[in-house]
Amino acid sequence: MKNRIVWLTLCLAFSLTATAQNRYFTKTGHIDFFSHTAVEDIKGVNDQVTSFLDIATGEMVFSVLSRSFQFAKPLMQEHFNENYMESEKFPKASFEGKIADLKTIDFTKSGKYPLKVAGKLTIHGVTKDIEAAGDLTIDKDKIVGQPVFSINPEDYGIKIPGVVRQNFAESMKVTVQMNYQLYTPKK
Amino acid sequence: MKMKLWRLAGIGVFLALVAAGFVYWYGFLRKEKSIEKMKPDFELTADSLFSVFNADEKAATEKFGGKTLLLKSNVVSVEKDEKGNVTLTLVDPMMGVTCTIDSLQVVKQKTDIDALREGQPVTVKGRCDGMLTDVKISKCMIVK
Repeated sequence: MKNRIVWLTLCLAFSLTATAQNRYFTKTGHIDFFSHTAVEDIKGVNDQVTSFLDIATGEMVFSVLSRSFQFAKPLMQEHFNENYMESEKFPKASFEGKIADLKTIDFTKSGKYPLKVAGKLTIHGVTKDIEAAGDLTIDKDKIVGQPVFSINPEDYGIKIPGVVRQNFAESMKVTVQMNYQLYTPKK
Repeated sequence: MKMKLWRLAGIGVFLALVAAGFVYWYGFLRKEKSIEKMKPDFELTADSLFSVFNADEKAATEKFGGKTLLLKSNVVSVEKDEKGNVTLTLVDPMMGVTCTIDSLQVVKQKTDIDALREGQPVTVKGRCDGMLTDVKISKCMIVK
């Protein structure tokens, strides 16, 4: 419910500031997570991430549905949704934060800039402060944000049984790619 | 008596092999059932689906989450991403229904997808994942 309120507030803010040229969004962002161990590699891919970026304030928000993650094997997807993420109970994960080094980015100039973001990441109903680094690429009116997070599932209350713990890396790499477009309100 | 024991041991080994084969198939070889073969759990318009989610997201997620839907609507927009996935937006650009056709399905239905135009009626089948600003439908295909 809290997520829904945040999203609706953001959408309303976007609609009310129809002339603003500093708001970007995507509904088809990508988030991949990857775990490598000697036992197996596990990769989940989500191509339906919704995200907003305000280049005036540096606010970056994104949200994903757990069920939208795709895996190479159906069994991995079943375990991910039923045993680990408990997708029926916790259907969404989200990040609400800011670009930490906003002044170092010139949004009027195309190019690739180092990116640092800091904020709150909510997974499995648990919210933690988090920082991530990556790149931000500007190409005219398109912006691609690519922060890379590192997370430990246990920090978010995700229980992995001891018998399969060796199949998962202690820390998982979460790669985000948001291809933002300038938000143009419907007339 | 000795013969009987051997026979029982043989049956035991056979059953163990069958069980091991099943476990290996289930865990490593089994393919996800394709959307073409899935029977829709619900048939409705995209407008009605969004209205139901907008009225009570939790109840709608419990009812439709993970289910196969057959949706009818008019196309608002068609976008292709850098991975080759195609996103159909239905009802409204921001607060509507978003259907993702993955790159493999895009190859299978290239002609149908290329023919899609804004405002045109379309029927899609896919799995409902839930709602963000819009209702997300994944593993979609166009139904003719």
